[in-house]
Amino acid sequence: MSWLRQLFSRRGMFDELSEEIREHLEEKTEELVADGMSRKEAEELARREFGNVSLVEQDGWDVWRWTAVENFLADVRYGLRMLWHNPVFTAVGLLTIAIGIGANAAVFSVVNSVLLNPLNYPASEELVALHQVAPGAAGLADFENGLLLSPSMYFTYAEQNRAFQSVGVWVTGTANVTGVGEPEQVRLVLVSDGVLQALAVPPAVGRWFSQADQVPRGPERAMLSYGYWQRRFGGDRSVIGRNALVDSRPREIVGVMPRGFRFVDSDFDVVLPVAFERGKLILAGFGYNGIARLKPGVEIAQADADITRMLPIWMDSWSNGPGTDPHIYEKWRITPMVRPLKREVVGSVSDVLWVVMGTIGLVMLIACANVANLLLVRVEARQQELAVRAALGAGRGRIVRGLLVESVMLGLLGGAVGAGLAYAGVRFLVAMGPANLPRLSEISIDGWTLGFTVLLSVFSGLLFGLIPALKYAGPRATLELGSAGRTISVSRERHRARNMLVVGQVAMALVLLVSAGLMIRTFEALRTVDPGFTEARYLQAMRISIPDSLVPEAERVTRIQNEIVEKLAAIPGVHSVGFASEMSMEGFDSGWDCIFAEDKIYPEGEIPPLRLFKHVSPDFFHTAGTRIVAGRELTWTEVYGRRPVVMISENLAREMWGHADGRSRQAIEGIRAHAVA
Amino acid sequence: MKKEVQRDLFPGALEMMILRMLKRQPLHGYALVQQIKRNSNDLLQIEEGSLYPALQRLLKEELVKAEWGISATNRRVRIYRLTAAGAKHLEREVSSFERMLEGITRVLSPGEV
Repeated sequence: MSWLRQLFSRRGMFDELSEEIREHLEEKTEELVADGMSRKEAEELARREFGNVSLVEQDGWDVWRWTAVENFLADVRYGLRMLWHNPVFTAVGLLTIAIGIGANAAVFSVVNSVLLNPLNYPASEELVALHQVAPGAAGLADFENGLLLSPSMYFTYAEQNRAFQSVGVWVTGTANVTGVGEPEQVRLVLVSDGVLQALAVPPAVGRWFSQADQVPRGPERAMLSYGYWQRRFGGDRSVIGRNALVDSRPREIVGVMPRGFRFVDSDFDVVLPVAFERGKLILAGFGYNGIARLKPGVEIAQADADITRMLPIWMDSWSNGPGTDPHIYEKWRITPMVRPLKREVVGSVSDVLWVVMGTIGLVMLIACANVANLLLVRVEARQQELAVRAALGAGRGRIVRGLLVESVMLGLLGGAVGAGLAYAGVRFLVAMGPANLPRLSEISIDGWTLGFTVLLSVFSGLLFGLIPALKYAGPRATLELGSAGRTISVSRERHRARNMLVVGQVAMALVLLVSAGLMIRTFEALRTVDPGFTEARYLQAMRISIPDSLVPEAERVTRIQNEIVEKLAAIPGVHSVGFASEMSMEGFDSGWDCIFAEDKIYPEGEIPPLRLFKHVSPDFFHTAGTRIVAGRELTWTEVYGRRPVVMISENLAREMWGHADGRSRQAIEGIRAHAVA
Repeated sequence: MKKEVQRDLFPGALEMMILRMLKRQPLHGYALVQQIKRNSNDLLQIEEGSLYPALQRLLKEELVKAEWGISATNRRVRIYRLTAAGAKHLEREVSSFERMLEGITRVLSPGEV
C-alpha cells in the first residue's frame, strides 16, 4: 500500500524536495561567502554548480509520478477548462453530438434488443418455427404465413419425427372469462402438447399442462399469464386449483407463466390445451402455428428433410373423408421451410431496422463533420496559444494529444447527454408502441447499448478531433508565433480542409434526402391504399364473442347478435351498426376454402384456388363505409332463413368471369353460394 | 564556451556512489556531494542538482531512508541513511560493476589479442 501513501503524501514530498534544495544552495553560498566571496557572486556560483533548479525539481517529482496518466489527466483538466471558457462553442458542439449520439444509441438499443439479443427462452437457438409453403396451391401460395399446420400434421410430426426434442402447435384466439369479477374478454392461446415443453420456460406458479390435460372431454384446465394473474387475482398463489369460467365452462387453473413470457410474439392472458379429437381429424385444417425444439446438433436442413420424409406418411395416415384422394396434396407441393424462431419473430423488420441504423449512422457522420468544422475554426483562433505552447517546449505529440483529449472530452460529454436523450427516446418509443415492431417490451437501454454509446462517443471524438489536430499541431505552429496575429488571412490549405468537410456533408445529406424522399413516397402510396373502410374517425370497433358452450343453438346466437346490434343502433349518436368475424385489414384468421362458380366446369381431381372469406352481418359494409360495386348487402331475413348467399370482391368476380361478363363488372353482388366443405 | 570533454556517468553510477557514501555514514544532500567530489579527487564532474532526482529514485525503491535533522553547521537538513535492502543492493551492484570493469579493462589493455 506504500504507493497509495505516496500518492497522498506527494505534495508534502514535493515541498520537502524544494526545501532541501533551498537549504543546499544556502549552505553552499554560506561556505563560499566564508571563503571570502561576495554574497551575490556566491549565490550565482552556487546556482551554476547546482544546475537548473526547476528541472531538478521536475525530475525529482517525476520519479514519483505515474507520468503518462498524470499528463493525460492534466490534458483532461486543460481540455475541460477550454470547453468551460467557450460556452457557446461547447453548447453548440455538445448539442450536435448529443443529438447524433442519442439517436444512434436509441436505434442501436432497438437493433440490439430486437435483432441481436437471443429470444427470451432457454437455449433459444434450438427453437424453430415449422413454416411450410405450398407453391402448388393457387391463392394460398401468396400468403405471407405460408401453409400452417393441420392437427393431423401435428400428430404425424410429433410421432414420426427424428429431428425434434418436442413439437407442438398453437393458435391465438379470444374467450370470455366470467365468474371472477366483471365478465371479460381475454386473449387466448391454445396449445397442443409439446409447445410448452419446446419453449421450456417453467411456470412461475403451479405446473404446465400434462398429456392428460390434452384429452378431449377430459378434465378442463387453464393456465394464466403473469399479467392476467396479477390483474385479476392480485398475484394470489392459492389461485392454483381454483376454477375460472372460460367461455362459461369451468376450468381448473393449474399454472401461471412467469412475467415477460410470451408465445413467440403474442401477448396472452389465458392458455388452454387445444385437446384435439384424434378420431375426428382429417388431413385439412391448416390453421395452426408449428413450433419445435431441435435435438442438439440437428441443423435446419435436417429438420426440413425430416418433414419432407414425414409428409407422405401424413397423407397415408389420414384422409379428408370417404371418396377423397389424400394424395391430392401432392399437387400442392408442400415444402417445409423450417426457420429459426427468432427470424419468425423478427420477420422483415430486420431489414428495416438495419436501414434505419445505417441512416442514423450517416446522420452521425454529418454531425461529426459539423463539429470538426467548428473545431477547425476554433483551432484557427487558438493558433497563438498553440504556438506559445509549442515555443515553450510542448512537443507536437503533446499538442496533438491535448487537442484529441479535448475533442474526446467533448465527444464523451455529448455521449452522456446523448445517452439521456436515447433513454427518453426509447421510453417514448415503447410507450408509443408501434404495432409492427416485434419484441417491443424487451427494448431497453442495457449494458451493450451503454458500451456502444461510450465507444461511439470516443470514436466520434477522435474522428472530429483528428482533422484539426493533425492540421494545426504541425511544426508550422512554432513558426507562426509572430504571424498568427489578428490580421493573418486564412490560407488556402485551411480552406481546403473545410471545403472537403462541407462537400462530404452535402453528399451525405443528399443521400439522406433522397432516401427520405423515397420513404415519404412509399408512405404516401400506403396512405392512398383503399383500406376497405372510409371516415375512420367516425368508426368505433369492439369485440364480442358468444361462446358455443354458452349458447349452442345457432339461431339463438343470431337472435342475440341481432338484439345487440339493435340496442347499439338505438344509442343516440350511433349511425349504423354492423359486425364481422374480422375487421378490414385485420389479417386472416377465420377461414379459407375453395370457391366453385356454378357456370364453370372444373377438371377432375383439381382443386381450385383457396379463397379467404369472413362472416359479416347485414349493414356491415354500409357501416364501414365500403363501396358496394353492384348488388346489395345481406339482410336479416336471409340470415334467419339461413339462405346461402355471399358477397364477393370485385377482384374475384373479375377473375372468375372476366371483363366480358356484364355481371362481373358490377362485381360485388349476391350470388348463390357453392361452398365446398 | 566549449567545456572540457566530459563523459556522462553510466546509468546507475551516481546511485551506486551515493549508496557507497551512505554505507560509511548517514549524510545530508550537500554533504553527500562534497564527499563524492572529495573522494573522486574532483575527477568526476557532477552537477550538484543531479544528486536529488537520484536520491528520490533511491527513496522510492526504499534503498535509503530520509529524516529531517540538524547538521553539524546547525542547519535543518534531510539526512539519508542506508537501509538493509540498500546495503544488499550496493553489494550486488558493486560486484557486477567490478566484473564489467574487469572485462572492459581486459579488452582495452595493450599487448593482448
